Amino acid sequence: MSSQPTIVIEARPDTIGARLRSLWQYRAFLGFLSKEIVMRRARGTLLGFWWVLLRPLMPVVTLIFTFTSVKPVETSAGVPYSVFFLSGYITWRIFQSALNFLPRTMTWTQSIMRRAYFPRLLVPFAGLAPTLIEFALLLVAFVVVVASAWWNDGQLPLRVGWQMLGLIPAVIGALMFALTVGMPTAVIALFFRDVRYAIRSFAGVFMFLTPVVYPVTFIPEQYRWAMYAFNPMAAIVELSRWALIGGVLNTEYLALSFATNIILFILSVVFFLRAEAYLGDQL
Amino acid sequence: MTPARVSVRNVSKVFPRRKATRVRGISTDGWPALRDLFQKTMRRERERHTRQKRDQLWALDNVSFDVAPGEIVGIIGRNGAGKSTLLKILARVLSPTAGHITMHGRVVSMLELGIGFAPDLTVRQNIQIQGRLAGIPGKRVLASEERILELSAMTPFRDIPLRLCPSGTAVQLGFATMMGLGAEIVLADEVLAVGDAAFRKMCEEQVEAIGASGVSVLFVSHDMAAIRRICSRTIWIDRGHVVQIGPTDDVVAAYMTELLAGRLLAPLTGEALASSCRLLAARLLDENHAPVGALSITNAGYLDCLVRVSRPDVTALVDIELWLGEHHLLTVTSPPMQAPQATTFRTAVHIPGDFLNEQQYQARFRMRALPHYDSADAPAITTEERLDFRVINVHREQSVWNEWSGTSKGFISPRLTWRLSRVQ
Repeated sequence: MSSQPTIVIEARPDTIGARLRSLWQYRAFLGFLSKEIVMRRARGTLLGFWWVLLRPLMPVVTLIFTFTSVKPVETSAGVPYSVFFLSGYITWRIFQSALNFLPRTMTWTQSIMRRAYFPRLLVPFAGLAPTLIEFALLLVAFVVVVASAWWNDGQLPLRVGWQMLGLIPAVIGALMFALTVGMPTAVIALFFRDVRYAIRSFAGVFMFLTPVVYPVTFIPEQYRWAMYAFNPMAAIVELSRWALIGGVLNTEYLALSFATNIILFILSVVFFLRAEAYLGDQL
Repeated sequence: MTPARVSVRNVSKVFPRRKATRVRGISTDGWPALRDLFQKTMRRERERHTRQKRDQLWALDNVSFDVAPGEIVGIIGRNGAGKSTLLKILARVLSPTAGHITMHGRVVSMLELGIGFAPDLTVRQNIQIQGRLAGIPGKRVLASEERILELSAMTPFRDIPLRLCPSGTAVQLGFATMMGLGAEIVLADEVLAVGDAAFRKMCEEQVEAIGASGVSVLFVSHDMAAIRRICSRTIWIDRGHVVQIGPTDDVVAAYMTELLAGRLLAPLTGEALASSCRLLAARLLDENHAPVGALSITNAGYLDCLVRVSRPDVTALVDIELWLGEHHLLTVTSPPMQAPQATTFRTAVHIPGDFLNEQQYQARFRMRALPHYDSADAPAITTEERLDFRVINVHREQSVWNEWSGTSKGFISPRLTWRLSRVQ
């Protein structure tokens, strides 16, 4: 008997610590859920999995075309606009794409949740799978754009060096902020699907409040603090751009952004874990 | 005595009962649920056992029992009695409102029938996932894979996505996985409802076999015959309460008696009068006037009720409504003659054979006791009793439907005469 696990079910929800431990126990389930979510997207479509590749590329082409040919944007970074844009956009897209998927993940996995127990927190984490695929793809697109710029201008528009490691915290920060916004929305989306559409439009607008398509210098000096203070994504996008093409990095704003990001993330996880216990009745 | 493998103590589950609401054409169904969720999430300590029965549904109320290793326990009760809720709590899909449960061992469950678990994944991947959910190491799952495939007769489909497999076999897979994974506790909700006769027989044998090997099984079914064959002990749940726990034969017998007798609902008005004028029992009888729980589709039967009218100043009117399920009224019928006064009488209506379809029907017996003109002080009273019964097709070859579809559609299935004549 001692080798068998003992399961105790109480009326009181499990403690956060117990919940995190069970998250670890069920880690193998993450792969399955990710696959379900990626495949779910492709189900019933003609192009299937290729949509994962097509979707992020369409706005890239449109935006680059608009801001190079229609209304050129002065980047002052000494690199072609396409390189400048993508160096920030690849990180931004993590946030946007995750907000696109996360609110739907709970509804998608509802039938599984009705039949079996597993820590529900795995669902939003698995919901990042299509986002990570998109990120990998955009990274390839970035390399292609850099290579073609190198070919055209004869000089590499990248700053190669240890600073490139800065991309890692930028990606983690974007994933965290996406989860921070995405987890409560995923819960609310179980009751109101409106959230899905709202959050998608919100992400679209939010992009223009973040220095993605334009350099941060477009914003007057005296208002810049507001953007950094209220938009953790601003510093994250700046970090990603700094890591790839160089420039100035405001470390104070970066620290502020990561501090708020971490605090909000923890609050969001705690909310989700607490809500989890009551979700069963609603499924 | 061996320690219990599953011990359930004072478990209750309350569902809030919410009405669908609309404000200016916009559905606001989600609001109360969402508000509820936020309130509960934000509050530090959850209030326990608030006994506001008015807008709450007590799906389970203070349920306690133990299951020993190797014991196969049947759970019976009407639809909506709380059987599935209980299993869902044990499977941790729902959390109890009060009480606690201890389980020693790994749990596999088959809760909702449906087309498998992950329709896009192959049969083998589905087996893997079930194993992971139960916390069984991947190697052990791989080892039992062959046996599971064999049990479910899915060997030829092993690498095919589940959604492309025949739906019946997908259910068989769920069952076989549950049996073959080697968990210590198995929760089975109506696994016998689908599948052909051979599969059902196999299911029963499997359940018995794993019970013999020390696995505890909780087995929900409406199939009393199966419960009798495989369960050593049975729990009868009604409206969230445990009515009886004990040896299967006793509990099933008590349950069947209650089912056949039908439920006596509380009289709607005039309590004093009701005690003297009421429906005593409603039963379903077969052709030979023996009480039964179901009718065969080809055979006739009777809906029979016993009425007591012990006051001379009232007239009892009996009518019987025949419903399909809970929603479709088929017909209302009342006896052509007036009931004798101040007496206990029995009245029965004949249900012809080849008339009702293979469905779940409900007969609502209603007795209205109307006071005579000269005793206006006596209120009119109504007692109602509902009797659920099934019509089953025992001999499919005799069915009118057999000729073409083999499926049964429609509220009724009378044997109609056809004529075929040549025109030219």
